[in-house]
Amino acid sequence: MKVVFWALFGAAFTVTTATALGAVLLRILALRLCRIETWLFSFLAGSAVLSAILFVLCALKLASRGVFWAIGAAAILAMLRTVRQPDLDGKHLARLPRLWRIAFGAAFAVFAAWYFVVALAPEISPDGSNYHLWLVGVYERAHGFERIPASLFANFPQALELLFLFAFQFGKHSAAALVHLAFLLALPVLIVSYGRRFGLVRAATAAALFTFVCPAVGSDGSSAYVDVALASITFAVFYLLQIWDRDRQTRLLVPVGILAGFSFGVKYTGIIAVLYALCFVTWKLWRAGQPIFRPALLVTGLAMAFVAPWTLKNWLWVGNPVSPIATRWFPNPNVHLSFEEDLSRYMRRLDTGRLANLPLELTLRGGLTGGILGPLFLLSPLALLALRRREGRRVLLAGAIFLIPYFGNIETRFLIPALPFLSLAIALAVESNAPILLALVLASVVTCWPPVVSRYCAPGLWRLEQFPLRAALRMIPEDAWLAKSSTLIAMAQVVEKTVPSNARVFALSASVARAYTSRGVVVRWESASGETTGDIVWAPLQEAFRALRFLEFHFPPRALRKIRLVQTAATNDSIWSVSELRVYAGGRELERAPNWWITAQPNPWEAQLAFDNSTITRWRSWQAARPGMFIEIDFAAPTNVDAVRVERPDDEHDIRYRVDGMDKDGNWTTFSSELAQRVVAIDRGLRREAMAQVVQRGFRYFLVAADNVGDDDFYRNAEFWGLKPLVEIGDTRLYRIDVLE
Amino acid sequence: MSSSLLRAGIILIMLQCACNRAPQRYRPPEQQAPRGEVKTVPPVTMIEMSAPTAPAHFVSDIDGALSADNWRWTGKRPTVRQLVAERNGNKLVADLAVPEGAFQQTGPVTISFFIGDHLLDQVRYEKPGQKHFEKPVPPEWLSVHNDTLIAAEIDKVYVAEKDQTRLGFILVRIGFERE
Repeated sequence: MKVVFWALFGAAFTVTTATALGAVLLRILALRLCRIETWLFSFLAGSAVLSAILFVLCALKLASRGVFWAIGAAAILAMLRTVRQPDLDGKHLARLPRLWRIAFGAAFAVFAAWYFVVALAPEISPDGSNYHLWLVGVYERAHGFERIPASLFANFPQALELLFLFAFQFGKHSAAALVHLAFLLALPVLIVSYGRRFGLVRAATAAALFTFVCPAVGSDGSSAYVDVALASITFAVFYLLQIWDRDRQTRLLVPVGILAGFSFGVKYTGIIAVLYALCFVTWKLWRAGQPIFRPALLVTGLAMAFVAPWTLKNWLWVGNPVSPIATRWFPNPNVHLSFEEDLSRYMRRLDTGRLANLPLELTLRGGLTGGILGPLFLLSPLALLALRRREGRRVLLAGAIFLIPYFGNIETRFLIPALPFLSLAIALAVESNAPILLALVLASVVTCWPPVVSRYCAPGLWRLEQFPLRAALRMIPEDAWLAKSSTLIAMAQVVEKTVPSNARVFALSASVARAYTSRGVVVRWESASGETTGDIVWAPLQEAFRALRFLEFHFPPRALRKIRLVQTAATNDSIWSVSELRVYAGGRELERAPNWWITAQPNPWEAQLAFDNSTITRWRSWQAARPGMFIEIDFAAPTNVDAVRVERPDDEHDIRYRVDGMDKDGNWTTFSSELAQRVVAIDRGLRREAMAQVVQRGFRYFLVAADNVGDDDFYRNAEFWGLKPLVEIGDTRLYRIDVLE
Repeated sequence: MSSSLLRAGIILIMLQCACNRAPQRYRPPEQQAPRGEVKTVPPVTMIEMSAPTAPAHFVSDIDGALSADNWRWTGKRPTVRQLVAERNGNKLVADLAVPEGAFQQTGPVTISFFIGDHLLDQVRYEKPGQKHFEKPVPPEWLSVHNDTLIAAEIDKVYVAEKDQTRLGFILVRIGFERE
């Protein structure tokens, strides 16, 4: 029960500290709000403030339990010492009719109880246990941020993860999930409160339940994810802007700006809240003929204050303020452009096939989109009827705007920020007919009840399946329950026990829940270096590595300062690669001198791979080959050269070359596009060489899942690779790399 | 307020300019060992039927169950896959048995040993009992990159009276050894 206590305490302390900070902020601003609004906005705006404080502490490596105690105590003390503004009187918020109060209270209580138990149980959610809480654990151990270029997840904004960190210090994983639960519980209250203020009581109450009982919202909000928090924050932005639109308290724009910026801090897609807030304020002021500049600047400036830390951190650490996106504009050594393009192409379609399949996937099946909204949302077209009313147009417009990021990633949870608006619009469409509205609420509650969901959703869909009360109360040993619930967590436990603390693991896929191990696990696809390591690992299994193609350029001897191999073909998707680039004079290869400089364009960071005398490594453009790409040697002094040899795997057929040279005066000349080609068979196995490279890149352990390319070869021919199988859990094997023994 | 923001923006930009970006050119790296000099311990290329990893080598016609801790029944054409470290100097080795009970039904049998699609040898066994086979393999039949398929096909199968299962012979080990 001690674990349960600390989990509850960690979450409660975090929420209380955030609320206290928010209350102080709202009191300083002297905002006039109703009591329930004050508490809700205090929690949300205070979360933003607490997160910002934690960012500074993490940057200074001061994120420790003692400091968190002090912050919490100071925040609570400050709240007690600041003067509370009188609440607006009750007439500003309409009362819920009795029937609706009962309906809302009952459904809310029952679902909230289920969500609470899930959140309190040991965290087993896929993303929560793989990266959200992995990063939190890393920061906890380091008392602050760690530079982790080997995972793109470390470069996403983590404003909510910092709140998780605050709770994690006291109550570990469950405390973090409970913090997210607080945002989930706040969301329906926020929607109802909005309805009460703006005369949409029944519609808002129904909409609150539509959203709250939605299966995707429930599973996300009761885990250490961030999507539901984002929905709560963006809805709060919308809500505050509506109040501002009505009574024009300029100071309301302070929490608007803070929360809009916080949205970005929670998830990149939250940037839409900043744009929405800015456009809304500008539009309304312009229509009213009022000055625009200062209010717009206030919103933008405050939002940017919460956006900038994350972009600056990325700029400094990974060379791209919005890593891992926009790599074309911010080329960097940590993310390959080809990866970003492939991923974004995939995210826009997943494996859903025709887009016509999407409605059923999103509402009933969910196997391909990773979650379901529930059958009610099959009625989404009804929402258009809300256009008849001004309130309807308002929520539909907001919903449409918050829907925009969804088209970049069609997973169900990316719909969650737009869901409150869609729910409101559906409810508004039928609000005039109370029995129908009530029937929809009832139908929604019944069809979204977890055991009912299991009857129609796709098998294996991540959802709330069990009511893990005994696990939540730790009546079952936590480690055993975790291992039983997830093979990824079981593997993490094995990694923690088997792998020495100073050793790193290379995983071909995310086959281990990193939140449950302190060992360094690098997943192949999450970084440029991981992709390159994977390329090396898989090289021995590729047909292209059975032979090398030697491309030789011969020309009259010249004294050159620099020499460039230039690629001249325009291709659609061929990645250009060079295993080795060698230069010759008088038939002898020039030894690679320590005073040479080598570079490449693009991907200069891996240029050394074309000069390391290894067959198994290669420099790659990691983007479609384009004319003008090059690899260059700067000899530092004029050097006689009469031939160049390119060695590459025999898998590129539309790459074209020329050789340029720069003389001592800095003049570039093209002096060879003629080449002789020959194919030289590789007469030795490359498996052990590949693993030797993996070791050189800092890994001594290797994780392979059954669906990884080469899985059976690694196992069957383990000795050839220099691998020793250690453990097999589920469909994943952990190997030690013994290549050097 | 706008001037404060402007100042903050300028400071932010200056801070960003102050940071060191990754160098875009590099010195030549440490040269890797010349080809062929990567030190290796020769891997084991013999598939012992009792080895835990043996099933990973099975392609077809070998019983999943291990008998007496060291042998397995085969079907008509047991096939395994095995990689070699070097193409030269390998011989195919097999330890098998023609059981007395089966022999009574089939009489003398011939087993053909294949490397990939190539027939390496055919051996006629006139008597039941334990058999040992070994023969050098031409290097051009082997690959250091891909697994090589090894098959041993018996001309007559034994049909078990109890369950009509069609059985070939008893296999203890098969694979390559260095000459």
